[in-house]
Amino acid sequence: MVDNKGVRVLTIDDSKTMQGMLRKVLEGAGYDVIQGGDGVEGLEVLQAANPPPKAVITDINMPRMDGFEVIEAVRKLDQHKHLPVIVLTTESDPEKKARAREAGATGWIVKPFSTESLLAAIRRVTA
Amino acid sequence: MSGDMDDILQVFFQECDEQLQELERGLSALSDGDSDHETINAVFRAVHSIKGGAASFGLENLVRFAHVFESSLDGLRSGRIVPTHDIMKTFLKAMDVLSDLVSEARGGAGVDHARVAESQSELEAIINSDGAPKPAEDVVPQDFVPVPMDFVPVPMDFEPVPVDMDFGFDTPAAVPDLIVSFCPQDAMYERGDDARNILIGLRDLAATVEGGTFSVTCNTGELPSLAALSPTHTCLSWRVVLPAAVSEESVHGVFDWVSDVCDFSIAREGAAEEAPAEPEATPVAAPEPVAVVAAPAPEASAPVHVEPAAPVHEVAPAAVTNAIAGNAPPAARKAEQVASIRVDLHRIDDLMDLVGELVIAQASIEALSRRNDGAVQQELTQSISSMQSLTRDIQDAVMAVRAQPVRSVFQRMQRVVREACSMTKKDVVLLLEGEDTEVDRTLVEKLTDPLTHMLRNAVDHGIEKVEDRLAAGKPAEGHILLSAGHRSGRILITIKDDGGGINRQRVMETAIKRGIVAPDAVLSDDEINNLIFAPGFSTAATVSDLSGRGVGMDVVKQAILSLGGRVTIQSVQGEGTTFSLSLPLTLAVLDGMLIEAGQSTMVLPISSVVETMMIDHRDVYLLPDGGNIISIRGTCMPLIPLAAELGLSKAPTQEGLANAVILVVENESGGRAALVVDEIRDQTQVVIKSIEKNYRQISGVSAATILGDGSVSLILDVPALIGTAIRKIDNRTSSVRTGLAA
Repeated sequence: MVDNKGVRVLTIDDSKTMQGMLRKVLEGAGYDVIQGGDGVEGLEVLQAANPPPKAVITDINMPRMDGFEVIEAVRKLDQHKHLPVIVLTTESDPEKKARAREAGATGWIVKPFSTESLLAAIRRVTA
Repeated sequence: MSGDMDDILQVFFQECDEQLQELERGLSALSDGDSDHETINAVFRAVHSIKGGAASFGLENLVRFAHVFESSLDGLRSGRIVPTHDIMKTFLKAMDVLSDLVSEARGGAGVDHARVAESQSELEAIINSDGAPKPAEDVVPQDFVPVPMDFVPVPMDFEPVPVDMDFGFDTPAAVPDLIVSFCPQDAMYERGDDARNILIGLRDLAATVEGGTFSVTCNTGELPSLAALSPTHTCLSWRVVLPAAVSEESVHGVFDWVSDVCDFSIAREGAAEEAPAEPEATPVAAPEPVAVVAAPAPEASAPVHVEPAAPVHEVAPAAVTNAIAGNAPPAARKAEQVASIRVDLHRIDDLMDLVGELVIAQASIEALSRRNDGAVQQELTQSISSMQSLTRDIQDAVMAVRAQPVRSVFQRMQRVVREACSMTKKDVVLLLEGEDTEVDRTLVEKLTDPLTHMLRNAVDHGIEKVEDRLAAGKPAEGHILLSAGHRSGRILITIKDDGGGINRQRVMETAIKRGIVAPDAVLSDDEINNLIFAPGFSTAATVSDLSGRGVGMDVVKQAILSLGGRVTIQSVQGEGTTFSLSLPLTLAVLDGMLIEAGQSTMVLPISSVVETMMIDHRDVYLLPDGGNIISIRGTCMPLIPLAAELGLSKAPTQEGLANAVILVVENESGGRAALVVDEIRDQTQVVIKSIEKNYRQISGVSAATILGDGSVSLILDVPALIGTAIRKIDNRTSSVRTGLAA
């Protein structure tokens, strides 16, 4: 078992339920979780984070700024442009998936997620 | 989810409430013809969020319905569906069903499955009519087994895998090893991905089968000289040999997400290897592997690799700022969300209690200072007065914390009206005004029932049938305006309909028939209007589904009274009726008048006191059994000797009444009585302490309070006092009732 301690992960979701669940699962696995309640806040948290997160998990459907915009914005930040961003969404529409790819998403997880699949996805991009 | 997710489940339900409110707000706006993109998005998001959360908790009924709802809203979002009146009605109904499903999931009442099915098929009809091609995903999911993500699940731990790992088993010759060659494009790294991630994925695949070969070869043939090396250009490719037992399909799984940004090929050893799409990047084309490295450690030979978190090069802060600024406009454009925290209500209640104590303590110091006639008095008075203003501010601040906009209750009324419409086959639009008006949250909760009944009543009895409306030259669609606002320290809620108004002649006939008023009674218009609040009164010609619910307006009035409120009616025949509810902002403090009666100090709510005067014995009429009536400017009302009424003293004699102080008090329906008191002492704000909780209910007393001198004082229940007095007189003689109609 590799120690995840100190590995910081940013989760962006407007659903408090989802945020609570992500926090529980990720902290349970030893990750250091920081969160943003929508795209705009997520980016602010990302900019302010010290140390910066090693990965971002973002929802797609959010007020103010959606997940696609978040990914595009992250890719435009010199400091974070290679940051893995995993999309976590209930959407399973191939078009949306293609859009996420285009925007620069590093992965795609469909809700409801299993704890294992979520952790595996994060491990894959942060290991 | 296991039990430790229970608290998150509670968060989910709270969130559902918020989302349902958001949904209601959005759909209402859409119904009103406001179809801007953000509104539609918000509506979609609300249903989407509920679905997402519900799926996580395996709430299948909820997910299934939300899914269909969401799909139909998607048509709206993409512009394939135009929000017509009928479609909006379907959506509003679906919202009610969704709300019921949430309640059911929460352990509330079971849902009407026929209604769910009906709403679902209505939504499906919308989806099927939008003419859009149906992606496979649009089929309602049959089960909600967690869907695997695009990556093949990876075991948790790994160690660098030695090259040419040999497990000592010879693979069956029949199935040759799997050769995977891949060459990432620049775009893959730009997406935050890494060749290493693919190597991990492949390694984990190898680990899922027993035995076989696993080896990784990195091709550095494309690596330019150091001077020519560009950090953003890829020049490495890999060749991985996987055990024969690994399926090609699972390898495709590893590349699924990156298939557009990473060239790869899969072949069985011995078979001709399929070349990746980009010739210049074909690793296998280079006949000799230049280096064999341990996976996953491409960094060793691949300077191209960039740690995601490490800046590639120094970035000027300005650049970052610009980058942020570039993303900022969406944030600036949208309204700022107000930061909030959740606080348990009981904590605020505790705080409120403490503030109450503070108010009392403050008043007692003030009382003490009045007795102190020394030199310090002036200074003392000054500091007390500043403390008084501070106390008042704290009190207001705590009340503001408890304050809640009436929006939540008002929005619930939309559903009430919709349901009432469908039962009465009427078309009524409910308009809301002043939903942001804030009142104490206990009051908000207690407003729901009375408002529900009043709105049902307005649809059922207020708004005429469509044919009657058309005959009267009115639009077929009825309108009810529900508004709230602050009026001189109280909240005023009005329910105004554009219906037929109160038919006073019919009200009178019914009231006489039911024995509520004497046949020869002469009542003013207002008094007749108020008859609808009389217990057992109903003028509905036919008992509809709604009026059959057994709740009359008398119950509504009682509820409003118990909140310290007043109800008044204005009605113009043919034009409509307006009900006005005037309520206190809080149930915790009260503006009271301190009076003396029978050596006791008591409090009367100022809102119920109409006037104060000295008795003129010529106006007092003795009833045969000793009761008294007083005529004030021609209006007769019972004269209540307060001390005697409460059993504090014997009934006063005629002489004792002469020159006594009387307070004319009024109940909510305008019924009046004159209270005889010994003295009026003061006017003050008192903190309401429940007497039922601490002692028991006492007739004529609504609550207690603690005065500045530390003594306990009773707060009088004016409506109850008036009611008792009127009943007594009613039992004596019916001839005086005319002047006392309630």
